[in-house]
Amino acid sequence: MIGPMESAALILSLKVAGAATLVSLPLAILLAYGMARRDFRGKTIADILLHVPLVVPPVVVGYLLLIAFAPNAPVGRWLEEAGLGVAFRWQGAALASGIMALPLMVRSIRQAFEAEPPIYREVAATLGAGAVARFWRISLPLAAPAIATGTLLGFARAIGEFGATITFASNIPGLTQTLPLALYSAAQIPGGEAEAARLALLCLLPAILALVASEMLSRRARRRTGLAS
Amino acid sequence: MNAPRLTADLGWHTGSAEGSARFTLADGITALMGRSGSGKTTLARVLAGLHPATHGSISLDGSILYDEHTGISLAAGKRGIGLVPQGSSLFPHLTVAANIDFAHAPRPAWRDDLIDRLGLAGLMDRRPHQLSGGEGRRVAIARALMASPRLLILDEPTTGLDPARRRSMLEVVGRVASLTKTPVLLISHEREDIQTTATHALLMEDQHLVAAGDVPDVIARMDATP
Repeated sequence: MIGPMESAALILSLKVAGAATLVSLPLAILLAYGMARRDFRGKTIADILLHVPLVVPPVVVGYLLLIAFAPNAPVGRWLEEAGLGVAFRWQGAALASGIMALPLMVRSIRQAFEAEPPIYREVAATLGAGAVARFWRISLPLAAPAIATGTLLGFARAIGEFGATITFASNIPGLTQTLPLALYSAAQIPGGEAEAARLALLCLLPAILALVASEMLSRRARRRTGLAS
Repeated sequence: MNAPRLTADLGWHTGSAEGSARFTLADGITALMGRSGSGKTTLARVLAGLHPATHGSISLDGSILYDEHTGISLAAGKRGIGLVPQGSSLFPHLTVAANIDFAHAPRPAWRDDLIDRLGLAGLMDRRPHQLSGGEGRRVAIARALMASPRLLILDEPTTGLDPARRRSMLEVVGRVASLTKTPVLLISHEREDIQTTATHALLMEDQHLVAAGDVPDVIARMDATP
């Protein structure tokens, strides 16, 4: 059975990862679309920056967030005064997880936009659909399976986020202590092995569920359109 | 030849090659002939606004679609040209009905009549991957016509069909041209298709339009070229 401490960490994790994914999703779709369809100065640099969270140690991302958003940092002070502070709060954990999940989501969605045959947009244009209508009525629904997959992957990544979160939001039970952080704490305490095992299992469950759901969604999409997506 | 509906005198670039065409189109079905790679599809795309022209002008029913000198170049959706590309172009995530009614345009009075004549009434709830090649092309023709174009361009509508389906596709093209009173530019390299369907013909060679006139004359010109 899971105790109050584990269930608090689980609920917090779902809340943090859910918020992180929901906020990242529209941004991920826009970034993916821009990178797939537009040519602009500095695109290569933008592409590299976008991938930074995938390749640097997460603690670096947490540290950079701390420099910007800590209560005594320039942006952080302003946010605190406006009552929107994020450091050492669950919102900060969501921000850190969202940044770590974003590149995964963008990559998965961008591939779908790039794979879309131009003929659909062209025919839609001859039928009078403008750029916005072509995005809403053609590109977005065609990319829907990849968007769903990307969202679930991002959610799984956010659930598992550790380094950036502990650095930026700290490890405060009930406030910012998500499942991986609780597991880390339990593993530090002599005699905490059983609790650590339960927490590890709780970490695995949502991640595996998200991966299974993403696989099922992409199979369903393939059946629906007859396309290999 | 009747009064021209479309008048075009234009040039374009594709990669390193230059293309050009000077011709008029009247009512009825005009064939656009030429070997594969001769620039038929590119000309269609330039007319439809999907490939940029570099000089010249295009006008359709008295309105200017493109004019180098005034800088006018209408977007594809404003040209009133319906294009049915070669191969499958149906939106794969939409049903046949949603494909046909994709254009946000007032539904023409002959909508249901057209669907009947194209034999699509029983297919409206299907998805594109559940259609045969010929069915898919008929849906694409209906979809293009629902925007009430002033010119319909069909790019190789009979490719890959067996002789019986080919004939029935050409009959369909003739029927919709007369039902909707839309002039048709029929891209084809099959002389049989052209002889049975078209009243006039254009010939492309190496990205340039080299002949225009009655079908037998243009076919003779094509045969004279090695």
